[in-house]
Amino acid sequence: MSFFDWHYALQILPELLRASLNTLGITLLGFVIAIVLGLFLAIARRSNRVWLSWPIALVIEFIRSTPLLIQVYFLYYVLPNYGVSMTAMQVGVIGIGVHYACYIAEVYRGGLDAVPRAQWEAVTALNMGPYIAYRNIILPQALRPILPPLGNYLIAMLKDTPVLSAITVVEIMQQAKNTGSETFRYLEPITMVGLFFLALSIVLAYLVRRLELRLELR
Amino acid sequence: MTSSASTPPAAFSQLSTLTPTVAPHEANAMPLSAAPAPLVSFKEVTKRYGNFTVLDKLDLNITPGEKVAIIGPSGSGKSTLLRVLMTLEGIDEGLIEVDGESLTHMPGRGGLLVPANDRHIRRVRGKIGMVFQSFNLFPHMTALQNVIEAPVHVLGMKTAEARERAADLLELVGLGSKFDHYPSQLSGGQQQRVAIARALAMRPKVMLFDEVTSALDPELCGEVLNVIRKLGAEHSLTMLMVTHQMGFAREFADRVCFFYKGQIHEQGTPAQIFEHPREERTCAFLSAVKEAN
Repeated sequence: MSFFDWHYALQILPELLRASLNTLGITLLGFVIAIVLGLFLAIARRSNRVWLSWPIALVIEFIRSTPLLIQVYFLYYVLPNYGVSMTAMQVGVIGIGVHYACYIAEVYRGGLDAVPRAQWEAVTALNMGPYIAYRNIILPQALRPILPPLGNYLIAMLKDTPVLSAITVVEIMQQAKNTGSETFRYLEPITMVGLFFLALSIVLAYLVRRLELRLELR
Repeated sequence: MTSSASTPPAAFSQLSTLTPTVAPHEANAMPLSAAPAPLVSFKEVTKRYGNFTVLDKLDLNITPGEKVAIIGPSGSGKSTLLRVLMTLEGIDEGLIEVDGESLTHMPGRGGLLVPANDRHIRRVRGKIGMVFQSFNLFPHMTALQNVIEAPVHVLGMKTAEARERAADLLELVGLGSKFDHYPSQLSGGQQQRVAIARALAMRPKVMLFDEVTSALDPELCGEVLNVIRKLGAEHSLTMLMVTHQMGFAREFADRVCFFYKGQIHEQGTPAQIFEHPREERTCAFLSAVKEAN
């Protein structure tokens, strides 16, 4: 048996690339959910209204403290018993998006807390409502320092997508396992999956860095 | 956001009977003719931080167009006075009125005053503008954007109109050539002048200046004070300023209030306060300031 069969690698490349589109799609869609939902969670958690901030804090802690694998299992295998059924892809995107929204909510919270109180005072003195204040004044200032951790979470999400193979999502890792089990050669598919994650992580990190530079304080 | 839950004094509970009153010790500061309705009125306002009483049943009326300088030792409640008026802090007791309307309370059922909700506060607060010691400009916006932001999004002004007005205001404060500069590219004095233009853009009836030159190098104070002088001379804006610049207070203000322990300990025209202070505390404070200079 040769050490690395290039011919075999090339042969399985198309199906791995097809599956990698799933991985990428789940990551990007999940990230959109995570950054939007995370923002709402962070703002709700900062609210003066205790009836809002406490339950939200509880939900965030609960989701952050339980494994993603259990959460997606629950969504995929338990919820259908109660009339809520989704495809594996839908569960994957929602599960990973909500899971990371809770981490990202904490990142937002740190960013929002770092905006000086004086900015809120200026906003009050100019009689701005909370929506305009957050959108135009507070968030643009809160976002810059949290871009690096947001980028980290994007890459962490990408690397967490293989967890979804447990609920039958055919992402790139699941595809590699399937290919391996058919041919009994795991070296090439698994190596290629590793390289795929490495390459994509580098590309994403580079894009995040570019964005950071663009938003750097003038 | 700020909210001010406080109890109005019993005497002010009936909205219909809210006529402006002048406390006896303030009478000398009012014009001799029939006293005009005050634009800002503090009635028995108390503010506490824990056990520390910052404002102690404070009464103060400010007539339209009046320029009032607030002086006093640190911790005497000067800045708190401005902060509660701007609703940056709530009050514990009493009533604040702006332009005949209660800022901290609103009519509830049966004419009784209840703590104001956010909507009411925002409506009344719109008549007040404030300039801060540390400028508090928005760092991610240019000078011009800083000035047009609130008129467009709060007053609903068209961008073109807001831009035009902002340009006029920046010219007024002497920054006609700095429209596109970010706060970090401006000196402290220039930033403070942008902050003044930004507050003016909201067309306030009352402007609050909270130690606006304290964070500036001495050579930059002049340019900011000149802008305030100009505003005072060219506009009938009501101004309330907390200041350590005794010379400026003396020259600029119609009335000087000396704060001590959360109350107005002594007040009068600048000549009265600076040349013939009656109270021992006032004398002590003024000589301490003189020595420091």
